[in-house]
Amino acid sequence: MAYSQSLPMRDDDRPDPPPLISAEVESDVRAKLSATWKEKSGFYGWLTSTNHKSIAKRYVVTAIIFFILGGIEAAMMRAQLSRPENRFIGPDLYNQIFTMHGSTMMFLFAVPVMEAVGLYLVPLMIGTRNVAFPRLNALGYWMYLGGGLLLYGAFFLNTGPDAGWFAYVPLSGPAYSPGKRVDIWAQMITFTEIAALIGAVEIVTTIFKQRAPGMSLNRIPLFVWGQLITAFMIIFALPAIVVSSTMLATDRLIDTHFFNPAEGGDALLWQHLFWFFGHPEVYIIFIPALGMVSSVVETFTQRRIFGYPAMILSMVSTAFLGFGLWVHHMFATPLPQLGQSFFTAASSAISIPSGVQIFCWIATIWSGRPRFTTSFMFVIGFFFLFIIGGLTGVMIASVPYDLQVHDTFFIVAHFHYVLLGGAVFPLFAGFYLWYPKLTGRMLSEKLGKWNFWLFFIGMNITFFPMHILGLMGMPRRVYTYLPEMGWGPLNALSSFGALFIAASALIFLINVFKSLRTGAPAGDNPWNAPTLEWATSSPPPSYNHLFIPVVEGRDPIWDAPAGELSVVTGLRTDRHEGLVTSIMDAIPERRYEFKKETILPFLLAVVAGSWIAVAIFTPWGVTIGGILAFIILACWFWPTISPEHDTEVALKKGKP
Amino acid sequence: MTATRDRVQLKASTQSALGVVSVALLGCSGFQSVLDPKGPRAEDVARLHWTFTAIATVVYVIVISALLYALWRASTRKPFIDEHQYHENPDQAAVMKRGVIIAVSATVIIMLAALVMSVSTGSAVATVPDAKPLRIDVVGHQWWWEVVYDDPIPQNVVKTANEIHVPVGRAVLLKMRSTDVIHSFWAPNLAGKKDLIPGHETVTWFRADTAGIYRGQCAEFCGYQHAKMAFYIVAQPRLDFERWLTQQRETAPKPTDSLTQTGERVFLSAPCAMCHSIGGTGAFGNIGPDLTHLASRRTIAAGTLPLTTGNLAGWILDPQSIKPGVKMPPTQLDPQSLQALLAYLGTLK
Amino acid sequence: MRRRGVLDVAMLDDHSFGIRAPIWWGNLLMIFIEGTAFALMIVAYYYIRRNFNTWPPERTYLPDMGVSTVNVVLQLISVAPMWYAARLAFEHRPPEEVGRWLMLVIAFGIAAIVLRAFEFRGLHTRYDSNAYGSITWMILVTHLAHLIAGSLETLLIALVMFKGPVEKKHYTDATVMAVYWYFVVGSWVAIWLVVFVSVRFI
Repeated sequence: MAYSQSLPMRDDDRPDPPPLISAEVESDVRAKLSATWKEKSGFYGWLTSTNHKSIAKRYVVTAIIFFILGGIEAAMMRAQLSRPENRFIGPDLYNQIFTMHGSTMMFLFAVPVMEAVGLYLVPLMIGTRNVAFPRLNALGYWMYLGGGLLLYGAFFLNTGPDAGWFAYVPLSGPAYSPGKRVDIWAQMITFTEIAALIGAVEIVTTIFKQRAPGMSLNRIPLFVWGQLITAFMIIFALPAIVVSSTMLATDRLIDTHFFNPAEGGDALLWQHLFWFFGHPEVYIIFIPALGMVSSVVETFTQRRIFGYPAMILSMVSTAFLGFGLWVHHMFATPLPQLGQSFFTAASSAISIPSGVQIFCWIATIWSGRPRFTTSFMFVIGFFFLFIIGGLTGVMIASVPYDLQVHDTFFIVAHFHYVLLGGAVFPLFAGFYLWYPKLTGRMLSEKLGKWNFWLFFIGMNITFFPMHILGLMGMPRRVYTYLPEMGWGPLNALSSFGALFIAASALIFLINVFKSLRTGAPAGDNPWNAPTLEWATSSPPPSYNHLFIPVVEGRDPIWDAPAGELSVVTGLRTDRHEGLVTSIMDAIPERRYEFKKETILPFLLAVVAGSWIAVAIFTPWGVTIGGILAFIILACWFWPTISPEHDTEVALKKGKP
Repeated sequence: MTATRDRVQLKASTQSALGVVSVALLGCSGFQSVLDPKGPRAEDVARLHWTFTAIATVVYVIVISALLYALWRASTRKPFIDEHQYHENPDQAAVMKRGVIIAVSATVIIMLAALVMSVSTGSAVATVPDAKPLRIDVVGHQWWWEVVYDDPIPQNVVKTANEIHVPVGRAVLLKMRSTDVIHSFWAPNLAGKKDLIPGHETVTWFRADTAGIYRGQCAEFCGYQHAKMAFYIVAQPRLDFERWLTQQRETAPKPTDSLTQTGERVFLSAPCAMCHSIGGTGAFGNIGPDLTHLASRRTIAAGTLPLTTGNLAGWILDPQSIKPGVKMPPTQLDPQSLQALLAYLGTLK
Repeated sequence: MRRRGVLDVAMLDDHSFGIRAPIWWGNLLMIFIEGTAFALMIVAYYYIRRNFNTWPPERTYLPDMGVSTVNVVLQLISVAPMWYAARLAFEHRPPEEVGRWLMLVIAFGIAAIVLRAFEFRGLHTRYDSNAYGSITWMILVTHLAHLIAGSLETLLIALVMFKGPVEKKHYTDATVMAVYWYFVVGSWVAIWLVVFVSVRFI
């Protein structure tokens, strides 16, 4: 079987191509892999699973539930604002609701869902069997779930945070937000930041070390590039919120003075730290969406994306610029003039890489042959909406302009065009593209078109008038307004538009549940898409690919001659084994055993989670929780050698 | 907007203080609007807005047309049969490359043009045009605005709330601070925002070129009643402004009839005086707004209600139902005391 | 889809060191995360400094140089046994040998933790005195957490080395642990320069 140890570049001069793998061998390998990678059934199996697909599916489902909750909060706000001096909800609840809406959408929906899609697809797309650290991955999900449950549990007990998703001090500090509301927010951040950082470490390590042989840097799918760049952004942006939320928590709980001006603290320190995280956060949501757009455009035009290197450089430069413009959230604070101009320039410069990508996609479409599926429609919608958001973005990068529209509904309109248009529309496009892979069944195109048109129309009715409201002087985060302000009619229109979005979301859910049972069977590759996730069955088996593919081009399936896939042989089938390859050229380096399923991540999340929650009330939570967590970690890392292991790898036998 | 005008307009008794500010000036197109500039700062930005909007519209139309053209052209093409099924042939590649390069170059040029416009407008609005602007101190409170016209002579210091009188045509320099949380000062017809940050003193300026009454409101989320933290800028001809300022320097008139005398007693004996001050009386509270010239103001509760006797009565008895969470507690008063108090407050012009 | 086996990997080893090992990358990314957090805290330290006329604030003594400098020296010395342990692991030497050198590192770690208690006293400020106290305590406590975590992890690996069963991958773990320990020591040198040295000049 040993054909070549070097990087396999199939080349026609080479004598004797290796024979096809026979059906008997394939079914034998399939049986062995299925047995080895079988997930435990039942509730306990569910708790212990470390398979990246099971965990990512949970992530996606949980994130969609939070998306719906966040949407309900949005609908309540729209109901309250639909007419002046409305008495539907008062200031206390309204402030909780808009804080919950922002926190939910940013921390519990957008970032997790983008990472979740990555955690599902990246291993399939790069041809490996699991993420690099499967147990850690499970821990990430449980922490994320813990954060969400903490936030919503508190909210339903009327202890929802009410200082905004940005929690500006001193409003969020001990003097002006007594009670536990803001503590809940700060600890929710702790949970979700741990989860996001774990996801980022997984994605980077997996992409760096586990790509299929031959998938050199210039053959990585754009979606995977987007995930890689995003993961790096998470790694460098999230520590800022780790540090600042810790400072906020200690200011509130043990009387430190980071943000207390009377003792030398500084309210602006919070803003700098928060936006050093908060602005990259937008690109953390947006860049994975760009990857999804590339996948969808490529699939539904049946054309390779034009300008692949330019696309990658654009994403990388967006990521770099994303760290250089946090101050544009702070133009109304005292800042030196020169600094402001720098941040204006950096903010408008984002339009260049965004432009490059948009033009490359348009060129790809121009040269291709589009199929107007729902997925592709959502991408067309993305162009219509995101460009509006991008253009208003250039406008508000200007300091004098921003000073007029900052913290008004103009900004609300702007970032909903950017985030809904630029991230949620691609996400829907991706959902329609990959649902068949996840479930083995197609979504209904008819319902899909309804889903799209209602969303597209509703989105514009809801958010376009907000531009005008902002210019008419309506500030953000107000629970009511006076009739004489003249904002009533446009607010009513905006609230009316929200009904379309709600209807669209409902149709989407119906489509998802209905198609789960009655959708047409998808087959391996229903769209004739080019990337490796389509080279395995739908849904993929727990071990992903029967044999690890060998990649011979940027679009492995399209490039494979006559439906033949070159693959790797010789990996062990009796344990969770994958292949580690080199960073640049993906040359095989070693075999790698993935950790197996275990209850420990769940236990650790429970212990760490209750410790974080107890810390809201007493600092002792940290000490006790730390000791318990160490005990679990010790079990986690303690070596276990199971009977089926090779004895030769064990240098020294322990006591049985 | 007639109703608006009526509601914002004060009782006839206060109109003398407003001088020539007429009903007609109030209404025009929006008294809290970015696009109805009444001073140089807002004018520059409004111009910038229309320029940006025009450019953005043209760019949008061009890009979307290109997208639609690409979609149309691609869908009318015959299915691929050549070896370039999955990627462009060399001819197409050349066209695409040229197209993308032209489009990106145009993006860069437009971006730079926008940047130049932005920076030049930015430096224009950052410069105070007058050598000797009128200086006013503004202090942000949850949820009202304290306004102080400082003066070297202590008796001449004027304190008011939620209403800033300024002379037309003279630049006004605001020195701002906050005693609690972050607020943001914003009167869109005159100028962009500036935050009021505890521990930092901030400065902003504006100039009203037309007499009129301009509404502004807090633009940084500051808690419960962020929505009801408005103020008015009353721009008056210079003489009217000076007359107003002189009048504001006076202490409250001594009550003359028995009703208002009772009212003053009620004010001083009820909890009112713990938080509010009235010049010339024993009330020196500094938690709430200074009420020395309450009746000369247009609104109460930071622009929440027009100042009418009925509104004032409702506010005194139960502020929490009008502005939930406000720091002012409800006050229990029997009807006679209330009447007297209202009559007394009505004399504080 | 038919498959053609073009590459047999059965002969590949199943463990590796350095950039060839996923765990090495996981550890490096962890260091990036924590390093960024330290860097931001140091930025916050200098940001807060702008709010004071003098630094440290009035009526606060300069932090003591003595103990913290001893701690710097001690931690720098601890790099040597860690480096040697990693080298033994890299050479696949008997686990007990690796374990013994790791135990020496832990001894240094414990000494550093004990010294940290005196360092807190030597700051002459409390976390709730003012913003200066808050940020210096935060930086030192965070680093203390790293010392404790680093020592415990080292202890865990040492115990594996003594008690077994030891697989080859545990050698990789030992080398990765060494990288983390260098980070802990390096970040202490940076913190010492900021909190104990630079305070005298700004």
